[in-house]
Amino acid sequence: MITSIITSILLGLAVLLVVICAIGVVAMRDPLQRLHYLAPPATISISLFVIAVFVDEHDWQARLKILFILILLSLLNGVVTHATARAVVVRERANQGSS
Amino acid sequence: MNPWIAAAIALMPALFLCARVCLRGRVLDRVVGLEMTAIVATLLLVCIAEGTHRIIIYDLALALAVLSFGGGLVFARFLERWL
Repeated sequence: MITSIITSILLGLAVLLVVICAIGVVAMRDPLQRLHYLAPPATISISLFVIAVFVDEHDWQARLKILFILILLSLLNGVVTHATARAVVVRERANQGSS
Repeated sequence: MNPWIAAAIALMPALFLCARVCLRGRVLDRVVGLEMTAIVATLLLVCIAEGTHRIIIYDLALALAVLSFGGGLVFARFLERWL
């Protein structure tokens, strides 16, 4: 009962954060501004998911795999965000140079 | 219906919002939308894995996390240099 309540609260917070960030991605006008909204789901939401899995699930495989997903998303998201931001800046400079 | 399935259903609007970004806007806006879609889809698969108690679906989420990283890098590199 208590674990179900804790899991529900954690999941609710995580999903709320993801939806808010998705709204932010839609609302922003510039790609560089949109990139900011990728970080919270890839770090905070997945961390809340990890805690929820550890509370709700007793299978060691599930816990191990969700930890791998947390590490992958948290580390790799920064790299992809940086690469995308670099591409945005390079293209903007190229467009300014040609115009 | 358990909390995980409810979370999966609640994540669907985020997926539709990301699809909206992917379908409209400039090229790099769409790439950002694609990266956000991958993150949301990974979380969705985790919810489905826990909600249906099928541990094997975690492997899908893991593969998606890895491959979306590679895909995002490829798109960014191509758009920076050649396209």
